[in-house]
Amino acid sequence: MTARTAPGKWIRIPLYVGLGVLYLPIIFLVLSSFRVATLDSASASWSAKWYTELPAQGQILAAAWTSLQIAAASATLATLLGVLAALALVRLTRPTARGLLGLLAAVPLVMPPIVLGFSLLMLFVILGSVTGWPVTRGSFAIAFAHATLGAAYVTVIVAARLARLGTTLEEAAMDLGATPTSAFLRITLPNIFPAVLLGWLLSAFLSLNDLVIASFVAGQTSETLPMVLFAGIQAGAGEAMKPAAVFLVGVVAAGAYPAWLLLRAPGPTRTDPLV
Amino acid sequence: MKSLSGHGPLRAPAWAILPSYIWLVGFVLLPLLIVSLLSFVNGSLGVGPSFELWERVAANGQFALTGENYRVLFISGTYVDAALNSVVVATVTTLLCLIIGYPMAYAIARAPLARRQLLLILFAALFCTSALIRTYAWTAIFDSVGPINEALRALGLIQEPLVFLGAVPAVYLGMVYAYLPVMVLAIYLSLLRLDYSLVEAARDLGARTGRIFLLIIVPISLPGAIAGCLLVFIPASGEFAVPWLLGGKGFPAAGTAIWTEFFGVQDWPRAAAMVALLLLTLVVPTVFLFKAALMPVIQPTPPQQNGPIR
Repeated sequence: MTARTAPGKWIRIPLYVGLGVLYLPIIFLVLSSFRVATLDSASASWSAKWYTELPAQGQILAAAWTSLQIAAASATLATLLGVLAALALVRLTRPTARGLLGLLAAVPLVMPPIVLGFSLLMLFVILGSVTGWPVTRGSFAIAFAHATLGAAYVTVIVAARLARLGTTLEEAAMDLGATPTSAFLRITLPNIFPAVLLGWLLSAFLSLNDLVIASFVAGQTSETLPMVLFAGIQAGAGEAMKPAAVFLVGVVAAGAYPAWLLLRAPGPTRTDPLV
Repeated sequence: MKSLSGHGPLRAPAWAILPSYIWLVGFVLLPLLIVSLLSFVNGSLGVGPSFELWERVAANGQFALTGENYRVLFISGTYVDAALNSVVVATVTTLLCLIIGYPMAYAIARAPLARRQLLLILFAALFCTSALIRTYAWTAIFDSVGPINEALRALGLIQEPLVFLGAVPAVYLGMVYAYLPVMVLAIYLSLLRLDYSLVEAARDLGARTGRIFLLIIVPISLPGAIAGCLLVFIPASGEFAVPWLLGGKGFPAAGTAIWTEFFGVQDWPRAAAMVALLLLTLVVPTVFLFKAALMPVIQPTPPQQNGPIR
């Protein structure tokens, strides 16, 4: 018996080694943000210099605020679009319409961000010259572009949840006299809600961390935190930018906890966990 | 089965599909068509980051499209070489991620539920953290005041800090590091459908581990593995941050070439031709593959058959 369970044990080794290797650079990044090198970079000492100098660098703080606003707005838009698409994808009766929707929704998932960013910029430029809006692209354009990416992820997450949920509970509710609307609001929606929230979180994080799409569509008026970070690294001032990187890592880390709680939210039955 | 009182499952109202279609056609399909069109516009009209590009194109009556941008790309060959190099890097990255990620995904799927959820969050958090930051984090390790150099210096092995970056291996390392979480997540999601009692039954009947793996586990996880490979391969072939930061400016990659053409040279039509080339050769064919692979992941075998189609 012990021989049979053995493969289950050694298989954990690559997992935990891999996780360690994946997280190691991020831990070092956080630590190194407290290291300040001497002028000749021959040695370094512990110091919170980069953090105490932060208020003087208004650009970083302003960009952080812009990024957070864009993340919240784009995630909300992405969630609305994604939930509707998921409902259509799982609950629509026409296979052709469903297949086409699934195909289109898969495009942003695989498209390299550089293609998505460039093509969306071209759309905004043409839209701007034909309709006069958007004049300057800025945060609005970034939010729309990020929503396009995020909605594809929300669609996948919510569609998976909907498919697992099945239709038994709704049908039971309607057999017991519920109207379709109340069956949807009181059975379906609460059951997919954890997945919807997870989708929102994922879109917000993806938006917050995106460099390439934002760089393309931003124009002159808006700057997100990854853009400032990238510009800083380009200019060789990466050291001073480390608090910005740590901030982005920190937001994702802080969001991971509610996401974990959501994952643990029980499904319609105790034996039907979200994942 | 029709339920007793005749209620079928809830159907989405027909209009529910409209916003999705408008969004996908407007923000995904249309932009790609515009890029394809722009890639045939005469380059001399489009130099400079200009809002009036299209007005100028229209005013000059120059919707006479040319293949000039593509011709130049193929004649100079720099971009084609960069794109080919990107494909090589993406292929190796994909294979490495598959080999390294598979056992990891399997281990998550075999873990007890509570730990599975924790592991899932840990990988999802990595996935959410951008390649820029995670790549930059690597530079913190190999930095002149990073832990490696400090340790070597403390041991008295070196006087001057060693310079690690700029090497080709650094790009491969960074790419695998950047894309491993996606691969693990995709394979893990498909492995969820594995009914482990099948494996135990096969083992009780005397099947060897290799046979069990090939005949039970591989077929179940194949859609996830394919989806994972595509989710790594296509974005990796257009990756910008990793080759830019770890490979140095001289490292040939499609992503960095497009970035330079757009932000540096500011030749939009030429950049559009580069994007369109990447799109046509990689993205379009694989999206079709991907959809076939994605569908089973999106729609895991429902607990019961749906009611009659009404």
